Amino acid sequence: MTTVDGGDAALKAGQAGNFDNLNDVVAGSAFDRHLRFFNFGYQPLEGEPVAGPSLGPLFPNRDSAQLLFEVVGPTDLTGARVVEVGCGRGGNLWLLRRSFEVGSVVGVDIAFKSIVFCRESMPDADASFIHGDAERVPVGSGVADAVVSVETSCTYPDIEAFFRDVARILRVGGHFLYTDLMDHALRQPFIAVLEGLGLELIHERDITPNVNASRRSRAERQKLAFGDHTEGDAAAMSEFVGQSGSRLFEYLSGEERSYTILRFRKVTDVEPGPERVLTTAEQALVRQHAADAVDLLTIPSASS
Amino acid sequence: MEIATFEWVRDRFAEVLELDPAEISKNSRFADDLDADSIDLIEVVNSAEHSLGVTMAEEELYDLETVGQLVDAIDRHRAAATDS
Ligand SMILES: C[S@@+](CC[C@H](N)C(=O)[O-])C[C@H]1O[C@@H](n2cnc3c(N)ncnc32)[C@H](O)[C@@H]1O
Repeated sequence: MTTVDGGDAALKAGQAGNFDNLNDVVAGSAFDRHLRFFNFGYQPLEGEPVAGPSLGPLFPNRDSAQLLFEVVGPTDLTGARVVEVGCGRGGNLWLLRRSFEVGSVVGVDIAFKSIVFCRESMPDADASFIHGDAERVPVGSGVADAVVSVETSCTYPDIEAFFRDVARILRVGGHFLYTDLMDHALRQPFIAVLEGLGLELIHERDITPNVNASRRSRAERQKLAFGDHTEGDAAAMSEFVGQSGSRLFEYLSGEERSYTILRFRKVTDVEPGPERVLTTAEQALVRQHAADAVDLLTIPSASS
Repeated sequence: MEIATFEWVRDRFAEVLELDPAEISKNSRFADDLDADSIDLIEVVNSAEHSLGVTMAEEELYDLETVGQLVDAIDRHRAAATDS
């Protein structure tokens, strides 16, 4: 893998290590082969419409599956070549193949152990998984009909580099299906970056209450899949599942951030100039969020 | 078969869900009647794999709705194992 400047490289190594460690935590357990998603999930609230095909009540990580369906919305993915950046254990791509008639899928993640899981659990010819960095996505330009990004971009120290790469790998007419926890101060700047790269915003929705509902009802239970942990690891485990009391859960209840779905369509090819669109202050905030996330998700017993 | 599948599944769910086995029938729906979730199911299936010597594919499990459907799925594997 190619690395960028020293500080960012250390942050990314930290994040890769955190998710590699999480893979170790579940390895060999009864839950291992069923655990394909690492995200906070979505629950429809009373009376709200529900996107996508219906899933059985015992579908593992049902709320995560619902999150993907909400992100995809009415986008037609028939025959599409889909690239997911920060694919984790591949749940989103696995579900796209299961529930929609996508053409082929490519997953990219910085945590090698997640990529190994993806390769073993989806050994199909039309699914490939690459160990790589979201800020330099190792796929060709204009190859993707859709790029998916679910709860991963908030840990990238240089998110604008990622947005540039999304625009580069999408073909004109292709879709960027994006969701994450975002600082209110950064949401409009992110949209501006993407618009400047030739993408048109076609849908924006704050789903914080839905993600919050999922965490309230599922976090405690999901922690069981991580087994027994030494006292010292409890805080990190609680962050991974977004349990009430964790910092990430507080973000879902606080005023500063919202969990947002953004859907874009690429309307034109734009060659990005040398100047960044994000201001220095915005870039600093992005980097700060990335550094905080690395800290919160560090599993003490695995990192010594 | 030495262990009857339904009784085995019923007793394991009763244990995991802390219910009286008499409350569980083949028609019991996991979510609506028993308040079970995927974590409970995976625990029971994992122990079925160890105790009953079956191996279940993920896709057999993800759309199950009732205890009877799980019992039937396990029985298919047990029958296949004794045939061969
Ligand atoms: C919360 S998980 C989400 C995984 C997956 N999208 C899902 O919904 O299950 C965040 C993922 O982002 C990955 N990640 C973090 N920084 C990355 C980077 N710079 N490049 C690629 N992947 C990265 C992590 O390894 C992890 O798998």
